[in-house]
Amino acid sequence: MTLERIDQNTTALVEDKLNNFSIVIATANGTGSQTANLTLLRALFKMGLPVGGKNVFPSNIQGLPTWYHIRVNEQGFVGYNPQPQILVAFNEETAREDMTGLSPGNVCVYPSDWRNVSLRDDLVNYGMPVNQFLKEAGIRGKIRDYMANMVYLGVLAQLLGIPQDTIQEALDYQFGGRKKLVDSNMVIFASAYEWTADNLEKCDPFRVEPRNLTADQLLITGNEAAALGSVFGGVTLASWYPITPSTSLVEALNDFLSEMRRDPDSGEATYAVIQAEDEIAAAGMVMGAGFAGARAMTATSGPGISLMSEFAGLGYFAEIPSVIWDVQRVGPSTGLPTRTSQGDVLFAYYLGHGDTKNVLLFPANMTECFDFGVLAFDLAEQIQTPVFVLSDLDLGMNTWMTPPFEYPTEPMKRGKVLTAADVEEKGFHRYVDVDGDGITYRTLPGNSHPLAAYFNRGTGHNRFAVYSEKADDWEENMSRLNQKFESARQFMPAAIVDYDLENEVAIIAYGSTLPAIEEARYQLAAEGMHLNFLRIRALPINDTIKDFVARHQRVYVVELNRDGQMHQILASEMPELATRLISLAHLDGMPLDANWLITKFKAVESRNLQSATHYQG
Amino acid sequence: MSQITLDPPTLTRKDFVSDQEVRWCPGCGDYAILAQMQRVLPDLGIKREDIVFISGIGCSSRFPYYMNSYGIHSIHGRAPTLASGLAVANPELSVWVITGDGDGLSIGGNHLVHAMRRNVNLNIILFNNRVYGLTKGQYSPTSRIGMRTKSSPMGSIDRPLEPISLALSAEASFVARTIDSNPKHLAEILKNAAAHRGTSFVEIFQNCIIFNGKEWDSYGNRKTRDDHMLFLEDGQPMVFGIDDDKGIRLNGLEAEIVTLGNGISESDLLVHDATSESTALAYILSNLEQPAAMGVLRQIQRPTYEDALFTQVAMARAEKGPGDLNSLYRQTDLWDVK
Repeated sequence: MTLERIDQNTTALVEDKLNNFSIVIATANGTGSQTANLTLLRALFKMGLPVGGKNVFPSNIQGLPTWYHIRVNEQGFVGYNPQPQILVAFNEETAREDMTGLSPGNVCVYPSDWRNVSLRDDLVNYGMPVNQFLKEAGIRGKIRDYMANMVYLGVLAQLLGIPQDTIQEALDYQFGGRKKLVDSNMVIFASAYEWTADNLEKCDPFRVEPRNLTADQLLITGNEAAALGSVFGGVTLASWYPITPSTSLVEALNDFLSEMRRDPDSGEATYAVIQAEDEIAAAGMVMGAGFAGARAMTATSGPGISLMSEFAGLGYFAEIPSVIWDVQRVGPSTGLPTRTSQGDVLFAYYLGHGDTKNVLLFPANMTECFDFGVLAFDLAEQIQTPVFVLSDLDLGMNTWMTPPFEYPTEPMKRGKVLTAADVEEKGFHRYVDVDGDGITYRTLPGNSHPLAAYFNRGTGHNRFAVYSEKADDWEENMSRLNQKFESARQFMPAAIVDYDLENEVAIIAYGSTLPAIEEARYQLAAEGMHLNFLRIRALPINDTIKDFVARHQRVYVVELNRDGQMHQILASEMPELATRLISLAHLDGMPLDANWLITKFKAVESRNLQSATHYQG
Repeated sequence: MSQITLDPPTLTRKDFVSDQEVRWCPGCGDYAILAQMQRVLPDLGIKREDIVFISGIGCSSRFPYYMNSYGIHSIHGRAPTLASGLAVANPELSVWVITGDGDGLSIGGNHLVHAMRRNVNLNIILFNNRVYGLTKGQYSPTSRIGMRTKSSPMGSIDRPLEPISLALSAEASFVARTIDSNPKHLAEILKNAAAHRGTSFVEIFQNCIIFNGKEWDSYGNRKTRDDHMLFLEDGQPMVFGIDDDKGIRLNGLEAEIVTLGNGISESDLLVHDATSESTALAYILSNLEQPAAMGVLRQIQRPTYEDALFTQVAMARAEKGPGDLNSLYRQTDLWDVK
C-alpha cells in the first residue's frame, strides 16, 4: 500500500443507474406513508433486486417530518446511503431542504398542486396532480392522506419500470390479504400509474429490470427476528416497559407466542408477557423467573438499561440467568429516541456497581438477531448470569433482507442444574466450585430433595450461600466470579474473520455497521487498498481477536458512538497491542454509511502512514 | 451605582406562548389544556421569571416546550423529584409538574405519591387519556380491564388505578378533576390549583384521538355529558343531569344516584364539603364513574413541606442561637499536622 494510491481520491460509489440507486420519500409522520413505502420496497424485492429500507422518523405520532430511504443495488450493497438520487417530495414543509440534498441530474417527484414550490432547474422534476386523482376517485375525509401515498407509488412504479402486478402482490402482503383495502388502494395506484405513462416523459436514467438475486430470501426487521429467535430459544416469560425502539420486539413476541405457545389440548397460553410499571420492575420479574428456572427476558433501550442497573448487579452477584435485549438509541438522557447508535457498549459491559462485568452479544444481521435470540438463553443458563444482547434501532426497526432462519439443531443448554436425584447422588452446595471453572451448580425451587433449597442473596455470602462479612469469603467469591467470567470466554460466539496474510491494515467492527463496512472494503479494494476484517460478536473477547490484532500494523475500530467504546475495551483487554488500535468512532444518529468510512479511513490512514515514515526517517 | 427599578409588565396570553411550533396530533386534547394554561397564567399575578414547568416523558411531557417560561424536560416519571428540589431550594417559585397516566402513575407512581404526602408546594397536572401515546398505544395504569391494545391483545387484566383516589390516599391537600373539552371549568380549576399552597393535584380527562379516541366521548358530547359529570360546588347539594333532576345520596357507605321528585328532594342529597379534614366523602366521590365527580374534591390547609422545613430551622436557631462554624469544628478531636 502506498501513499500515491491513497491520494487518488475516487470515493464515488459504483454508479450504474440500472438497478442501482437510492430513493428518499419525504412525508409527514402519521400520514400512513409507511404502507406505500414498504410496498415499494417489497415490490423491488419481488423483482429479485437486493433492497434495504431505512425509516428516519421523529419522536412524534403525527405531523413532524419523516423520511423513508430505499436503496436498490444489484451487488447487494444496500446499507444506508445519505445521498439518494430520487426524491419524493411529499412534505411541503421540508421540500426546499430535501431538494438541496440532491445532485444535478437527480430526480424530484412532487405534487403539482403545491402553490409555492420552487423547483431546482438542474433536476429532473416530475409533477403529480395528487388532488386530481383523489377527486376523480371520490376520496374524501380521513383516508385522503393515506390514499395520496398511492399516487407517488403509482408514479414511481411507472417511472422506474415496476410492473403493476408486482405492486399488487406487495400491497396484498402489506394489507395481509384484506381484499377491500388492496382494491381501493390499487384504484388510485393504477390511475397514477397509467397517467404517468401517458403524461410524463421519462428523462432520467434510473430504472429497474428483474433479476434473480433475492430468491430464498425474506424481508424482516431485527426486532421480529429477535422475537422469533427468543421463541425458538424457549422464552416463557417476558416482562417489559414500552420504550422506542424496543417496543416492537415485545409486540412481535406477543404475536408469535399467542400463535405458537398454546397448550394443544386446553388452548391456554403457556407463556406470560407482562407490561410492568417500569424497567426496574421488568428486570425484577425477569430475575424472579430466572431464579425459578424459566427462560425469561426483557427488551429495552438505554434509559431502561439505566434503570435496570441495580438488578443487573444482583443478577451478576446472585448468579441469576436472565436475558436483556438493549435495542440501542442515542443517549445520554432521552437524547434522540428515534435514532440509532452503539452507545451502550461500555455501560452494558460494566453495568452494576462494584466489580461487575457482563456478557454481551452483538448481532449484525437478521440471522444473528434470530440466532442470538436462542443463544442468549443458553449462555445465560450456562454461565448463570444476565446476558445482554446489544441490538440497535437500525437493526431492530428497519427492514432487512435475510436468508430463512434455521431451526435449532441442538437441544437447549440448561447449564448446571441439579435434579433431586442429582442432589441425592452428588450433594449440593450452591457456590462450591466443584468443576474448577468458577461455574457452580444450582437447584430450582420445586426440587424436593431436603438439601436442595438455598437462600439466594445480594449480600455477601460464603460458598454455602450463607451470609458472611468475612474478608476471605468476600475475596474468594469475587475471585470465583472473575474466574467464571474467564470461563465464559470459551462459550461466546467466535469473531468472524476475513484475513489475508498480505494485508497490514485491518478493520474491527461489530453490529449494524456491517453493510457499510462490506461496501467500504469493496470500494477500497477496487482502489487497491485491501483491508482485513474482524467482526466481534461478543464480549468478553477471546484470543482470536488478540492474535488478529497482533498480525497487523494498524487496526481501525469502527463504531457508532462518540468515545470509541469498543476501542477502549479492546485497548484495556490487550494493553501490549493498544497502540495498534485506532478508533474510527462516529455518531450523528444515522446508520454508518460507506462514504463516511472511506473518506475518514483515507484521511487517518494517510496521516498514520506519514507519521510512520517520519519516525523511520 | 443607581438602582434600576422596572414596573412589572402586564402579562398577556402571548407572553406565555413559546416560539416552538406546537406538534401534537390534530385533535389532541393537549391543545385545549395548553390554551387554557396560557390564558390563566397572566391572571395569577406571578412574574413570568418565577414560573417553572417540569415534565418527564410522554406526549403530555412535551407541554413545557410550548410554555414561554423556565422549564425542564426531564426523565420518565421523575418530574416530581426535580420539582421538589426546585421548590424547596427556592420557595418563591411557582412550580408546575406536567405528567400523564403512564409517566405519573406507572413509572413515576412512587415519586408522585411522596411529593403529595410531603405537601411540597407544587401544581401537579396529570393528563389522563388511559393509554400510552408516544410509544404507540399500549395500555396504561388507568386503562380499563379488558381494553385491547398492542400490548394487551387479549384485553388488559390489570386493575386500573383511580388517580383521584390515589391522591386522596397520599393525603394531597388539593385534589381536583376537570376535562379538556370544558375550557371554562378547566381554567377555573387551574386557577384554584395555582392559588393553593401545598401540593395541588389535578386530573384532566384528556383525549388521545389516535389511540383511545372514544374514551371520553360521553363526557364531551353535548347530549350525554350532563349525565356523565357531576360538577361539585362547595356547600351545594350534588345535583346533575341534563335537566338537573338527578342527585347523589348516601346509602350506607355507598353513593347512590337518585332522581329528584317522588318524595326525594335536594335536602336528601349529599352536600359537597371540599374542606373536610377527612378524605371519606372525597374518596366516595372519586370512585363514581357515571357521573364522574368534577371540580375540587378536596382542599384543606396544612403546612407545606417547605414551611415545615424552614420552621424547624427557625426553631433550632431560636433554641440554640445562630450557628458557629468554628465551635462546631472544635467539638471533635482535630489533628495537628506538623
